[in-house]
Amino acid sequence: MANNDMIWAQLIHLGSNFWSDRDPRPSGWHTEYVDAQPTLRCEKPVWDGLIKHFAEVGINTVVIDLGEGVRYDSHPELAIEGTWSKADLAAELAKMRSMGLTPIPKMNFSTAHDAWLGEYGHMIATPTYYRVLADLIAEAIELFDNPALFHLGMDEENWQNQKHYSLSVIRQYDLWWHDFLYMVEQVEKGGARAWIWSDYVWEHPDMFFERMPKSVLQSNWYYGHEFNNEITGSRTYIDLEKHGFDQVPAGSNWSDPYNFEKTVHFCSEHVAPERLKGFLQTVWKPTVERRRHRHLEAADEVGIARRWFESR
Amino acid sequence: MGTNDMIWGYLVHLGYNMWSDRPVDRPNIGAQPHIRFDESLWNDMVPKMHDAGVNLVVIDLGEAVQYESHPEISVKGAWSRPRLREELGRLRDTGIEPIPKLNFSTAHDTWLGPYSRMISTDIYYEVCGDLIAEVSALFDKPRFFHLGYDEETAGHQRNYLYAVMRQHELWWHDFEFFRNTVESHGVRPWIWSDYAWNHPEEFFEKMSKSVLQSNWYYGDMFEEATDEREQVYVKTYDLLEGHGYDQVPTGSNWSNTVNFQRTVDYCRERIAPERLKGFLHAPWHPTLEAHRDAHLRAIEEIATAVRGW
Repeated sequence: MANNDMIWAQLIHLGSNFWSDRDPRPSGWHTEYVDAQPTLRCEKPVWDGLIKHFAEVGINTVVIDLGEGVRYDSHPELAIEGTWSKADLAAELAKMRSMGLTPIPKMNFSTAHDAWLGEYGHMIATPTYYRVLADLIAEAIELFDNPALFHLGMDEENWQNQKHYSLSVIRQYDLWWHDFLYMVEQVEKGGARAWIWSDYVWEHPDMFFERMPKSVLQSNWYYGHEFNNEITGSRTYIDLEKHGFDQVPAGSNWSDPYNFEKTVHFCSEHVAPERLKGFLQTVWKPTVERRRHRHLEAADEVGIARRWFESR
Repeated sequence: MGTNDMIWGYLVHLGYNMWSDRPVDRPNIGAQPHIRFDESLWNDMVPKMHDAGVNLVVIDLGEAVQYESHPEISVKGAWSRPRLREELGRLRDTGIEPIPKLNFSTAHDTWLGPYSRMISTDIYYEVCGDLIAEVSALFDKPRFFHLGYDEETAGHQRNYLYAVMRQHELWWHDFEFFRNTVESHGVRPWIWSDYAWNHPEEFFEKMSKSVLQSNWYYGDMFEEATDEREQVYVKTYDLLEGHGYDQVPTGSNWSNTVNFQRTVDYCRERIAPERLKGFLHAPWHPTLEAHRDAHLRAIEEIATAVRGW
């Protein structure tokens, strides 16, 4: 694969209602920005600055976590105060493309991250839910002018990650697969390739490798400092490679400022070039002035890692 | 309070789709599309219960009634409303007071069918309200309405396809909805008290005294329990008494043959007569011939306890 085909991506949040459906501080979760809000937390000047910076440092793909950030024609009831119109987002997508950035939609349908779905988050795996999900995927694909990829999230659907929520929902056994494959079907129907976080494999390796279609692009994620076979997060890159999955390994400056660079080093060594489709940087902070520097330093890490990768 | 005023209750299952929504290794735990209730066994149980001194039967209805408001949740063989009414009349004639139970814990609501995947939505509240109203009328405004509400945890749903837990303020919001709905029909709500095990402070701060409490513990060790969790389960009887709740302590022959009598002995010593409303025996076996022995032995255990009282 030529270097130019590699994805050098950063995840940006348009919506941010992806965690708790209540203020979780009384029950002991004090991480900032994790409680859903009725007003959009995406500041346009910060967004503009980041997009410009992404292009400057060598990022070529922007994964946009949409959530409640777009006023969907099919489900306007999901919009909150400050939600962007489709026209606003379309203009941003065009601007990104003109700067050499490929925008990719992300809608996280994990029950641990679907506070943005409002009441539909209380109707998981019902006919209503499936209809809404199909509507939204189809609409996002159209809005993004038939993107090559569509990120479905689907991470952390367990109780541990929902213990501070008002409602904790977990699809298990065949139901997780039923719903996941339904989502993949909707994405592929729109001509896009489904992309997910791979952490379901951490707890369910046998089932994952038996049932996960190779057509689904995998983003395992591991944000630590050390990389070795003893650590599930880092070993999973190797396991996915052994089973022949295409990967876009994901790093972050969430807990270690050098993680992204280390992720690139480790995966360049352990994932065959034909299956290593690129890398994804994540910050997990809203697009707000107070956290602008975190996004910038994350993007800078991508630039450093890309230069290293291409100089090998 | 004399023996005659005491509740000597027995929990019987008319419906049994109260656990897993998928087949699991343990028999009868997976939901079925048909009723699981052998009338031959039931018909033998009723006179034996009467003879034993049982004066109240809590009937877990679940999917086994053709509800007028929501016929879509009944399964094949579900009793018609007249059939249920007839049986309630027969029980009353025998001197046994029938009490309805619909378990609205998400760990035990497979019987709710599609609505078990719509927890805390407008539709859910409407359906649950309809069912409580209909059942209260079917039972001719019973003294109590058992809401279940036990074991709503991820651990108790680990084998299900769909696990859902109300937590923090939402648990209480929905519980208050159920309490108010039952009380609006002039009926006293009754619940399993195990939420207190893991949330004692909020339980005793928020739980209304109007709700009849059935703590339950099925082990064979009481004062002498050394296991930390068992101590919590047993001590909950004392905590409920300390906070002034009316109680119907619940025992079972699920794990051993001594629990029910020991539950009676332990609680008689510790709960003031004015708050000790009686005892409930919960065998938890389906009302099927294959489980006849367990049911008949449970009834015998009640007889022994009543004689000793």
